[in-house]
Amino acid sequence: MGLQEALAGLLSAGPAHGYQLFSMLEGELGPGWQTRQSQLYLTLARMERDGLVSGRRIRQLALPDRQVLELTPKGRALADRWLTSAEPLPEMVVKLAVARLARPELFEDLAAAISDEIAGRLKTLRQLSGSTRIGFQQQALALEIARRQAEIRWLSSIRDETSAILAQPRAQRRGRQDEQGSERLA
Amino acid sequence: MSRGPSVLPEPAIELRGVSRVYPSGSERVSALRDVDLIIYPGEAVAVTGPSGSGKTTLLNLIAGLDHPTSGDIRVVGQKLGELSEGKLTAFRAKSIGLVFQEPHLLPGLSAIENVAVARLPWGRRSELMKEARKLLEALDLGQRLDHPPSRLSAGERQRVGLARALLGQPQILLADEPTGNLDSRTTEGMIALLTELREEMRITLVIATHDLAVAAMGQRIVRLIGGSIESDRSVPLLRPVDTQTLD
Repeated sequence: MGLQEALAGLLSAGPAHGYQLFSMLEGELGPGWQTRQSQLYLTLARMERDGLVSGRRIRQLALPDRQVLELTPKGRALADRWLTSAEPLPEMVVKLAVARLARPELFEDLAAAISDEIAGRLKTLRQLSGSTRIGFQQQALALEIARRQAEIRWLSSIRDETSAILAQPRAQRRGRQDEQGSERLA
Repeated sequence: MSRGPSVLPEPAIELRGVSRVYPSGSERVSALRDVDLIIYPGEAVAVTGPSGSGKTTLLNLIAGLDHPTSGDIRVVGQKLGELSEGKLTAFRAKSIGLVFQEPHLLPGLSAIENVAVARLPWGRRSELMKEARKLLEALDLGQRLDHPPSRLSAGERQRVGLARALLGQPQILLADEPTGNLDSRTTEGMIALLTELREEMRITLVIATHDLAVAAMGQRIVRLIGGSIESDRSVPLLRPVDTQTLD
């Protein structure tokens, strides 16, 4: 889910190599989100093929060569688009985490835009809920309303605590914990 | 040079450069800072923001329960600063309905009496009781007319408070954290009710809430931070969910 965009977002702060990108995502989002290292390298290779990133090889004395990647103008456009658009909602956690690390100046506006998006959806759900009485529709809509309510309340707390969130130091990669139920960034 | 007719209607509520400063010991605390806000008739505006951001102060100023340190407030064309306390009270009784987090019903009175009592100085008892009955029935409290507050649930008490606010058909309804004491199911019921009433009665609704999930009922969400308007955004109707597919 959105791995290519998340990597472009991280690279918009400056060049990095694959393992650095992996560590950042793992450190910031684990254990709720799982990033597969093999999938991440595959995605970076695809991004290079598609002209979103360009790589240059760095020699290391005792270790194998390391490839440092940077965004091309096309890749930067992708990152900018992703980090300034409220959709798609399931990725909002990843998007906000990436904005916090790579583009903190966008964080507050992004949280507000996503909040607006959810408010609009919640409003429509309430309207639909008021106009249906058949079958299990109202109960199904009630679940969606509850989800949107939880999301918008979560975003509200994020917006109220923006300064503290942006001041938090960058996380280090954590050891693997129980990964059951974690979402996959792929 | 003459100006053409204005497309926009006369605002229902208009604040220009409104500030409110309270003394606090030797210091002065700014509860509102230079607020400009225009709300048109029939609009539903949610005022949100963290605790202490100025939401209640803003509502109290619009209701004329408090006075600005500087700036002007007009409500349905009336400049509040020009009214004496007596005229302000009469103006509020006629034009503004108020709903609070706790409805503060009088324990010795029935639901219907609680609705009618606040307006007794401005109307005939029999007519007020007739209107109170109609409102309570419309709010699904027809079976609770004679119940004292102690025999009503939190949601029912809040609906009695709402009926009291709507008595006399005010043009403006100000609600300060009206769902603060309600569970999530009753909150949704109250949101549906306020939305329906606003549309039916063409009332202007200003609702102060710290809860963005409640604020989403508004057509606009005004966010206050530290007494200033941080944002004023409209809430469009959007595709509600990414429809899930059974396959």
